[in-house]
Amino acid sequence: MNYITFGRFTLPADLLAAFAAIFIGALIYRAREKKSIDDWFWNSFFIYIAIYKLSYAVFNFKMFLDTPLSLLYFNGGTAGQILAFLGIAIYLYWLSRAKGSTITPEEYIPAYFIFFLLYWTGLFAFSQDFLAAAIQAVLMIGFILFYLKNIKLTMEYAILFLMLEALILSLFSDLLAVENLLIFALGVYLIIFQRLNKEEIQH
Amino acid sequence: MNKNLLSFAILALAVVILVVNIWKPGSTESEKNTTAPAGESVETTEDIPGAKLSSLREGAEAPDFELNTLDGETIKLSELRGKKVILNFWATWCPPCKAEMPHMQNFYEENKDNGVEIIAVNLTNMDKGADEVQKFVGEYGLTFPIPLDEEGVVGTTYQAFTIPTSYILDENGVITKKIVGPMDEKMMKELTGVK
Repeated sequence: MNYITFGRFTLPADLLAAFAAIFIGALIYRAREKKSIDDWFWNSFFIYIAIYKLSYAVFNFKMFLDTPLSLLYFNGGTAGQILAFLGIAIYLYWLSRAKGSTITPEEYIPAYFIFFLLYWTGLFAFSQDFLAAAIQAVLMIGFILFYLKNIKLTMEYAILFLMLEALILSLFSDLLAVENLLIFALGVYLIIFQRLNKEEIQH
Repeated sequence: MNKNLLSFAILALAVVILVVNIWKPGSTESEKNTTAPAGESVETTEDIPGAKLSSLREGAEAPDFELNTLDGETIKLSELRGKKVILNFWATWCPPCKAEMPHMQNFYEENKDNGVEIIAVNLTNMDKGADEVQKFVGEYGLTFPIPLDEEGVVGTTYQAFTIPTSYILDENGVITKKIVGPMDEKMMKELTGVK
C-alpha cells in the first residue's frame, strides 16, 4: 500500500483516492441532475468503511483491546473487504426493493462507474504511475462525457466500460487482485440486478 | 453505436484481456525472484542501474550503523547479512507506532526462525528517555532488538521524519522497500515474502 505524507500526517493512498472520488463523484452527479445525489451513495461508502474497519476489531480482537487506536491505521484485510462489498450489495438490494422506494437500480450503475473510475485514476496518480493515470483519466473523462450527454447506459455499454477498465487494470495493475475482483463483482451484480428489475417491471 | 458493433467490441476486448492476463504469469515470476534465496538475488541487486549511487533508494544498499540496544548489547546492521531485515524507526509517544507494535511482535514470534529479523530503532533523542522506552517495551512484551539512537544520527540518515518509518532489507542488506506509516502483520508477510 502507498502512503502519502503531508507534513507530519500520513494517509493511505487508497483512502485518499476514495474520499476524493466520493466528493468529485457527487459533484459530477449534481452537474447532470441539478440536484444532490441521494443518500444511498454516501451510505454505501460509509457502510464499506464501517465494515472494512470494524472487521479489523473483530478479526484482531485481542490486539484491538490492547491498542484500540490501531483501528485508525488498520483494516479487516481481504476478509473485511469481502464483507464490506457484500454489505453494499445487500444494502442496495434492500433499498430498491423496500416498499415505497423511489430508488431504482438504474441509478446505481452510473454512480458506480463514476466513483471507481475516479478512484482508480487517483490511485494510479498517487502511486506516481503517470502513464497509467493518464490512460485511466481518458476512460474516466470518456465515461463522464457519456454521462453528461445523457446517452442511455444500456447493459451493452455498461459491459463495454467494465471491459475497458479490466483491460487497463490488466496492463497496469493486477486485475486478479482481490480488491479489483470484488469491485468487478459489484459491477456485474449491479448490471444483473438492473436487468432483472427491468424485466420484472415489463412483465 | 450499433448493437452488433458493441457486441463485437465487447468480445474483442474479452479476448485481449484474456491474452494480457495469460501473458502475465511471466512477469509475476520475475517478481518472485526477488524473494528467492540469497544466492540468486545477488545478481538482481547488481542489475539495478545506479543502485549504489544514492544511499537511501529502493535498490540501494542500506547505510550501515552500530548502536547499543536496550539490553546493553551492540548491534551492527551489516552483521545481519543473510537475513531479511525489517528496520523500523519509532518512538513511545507516536500513536501509529503503538498500533503496529503488537503486529510486529506477533510477526517476529512467528518468523524469527524463518530468516527474518526485526530491528526497531528507537529515536531516543526525540523520546522521553531510556526508562520510558523500557517501560513501553515491557508493556507490549517486545522481544526483538531495540537499538537506541541516542544521538539521532541513524534516524536522520534514514530520513525517519514521519514515524513509523520502516525499511525492508533483503539478505544482502539492500533496501527493497521503504514504508512510511504503520504496518500490520499481513503487510509484513507480503513485504518480506514469508509464507
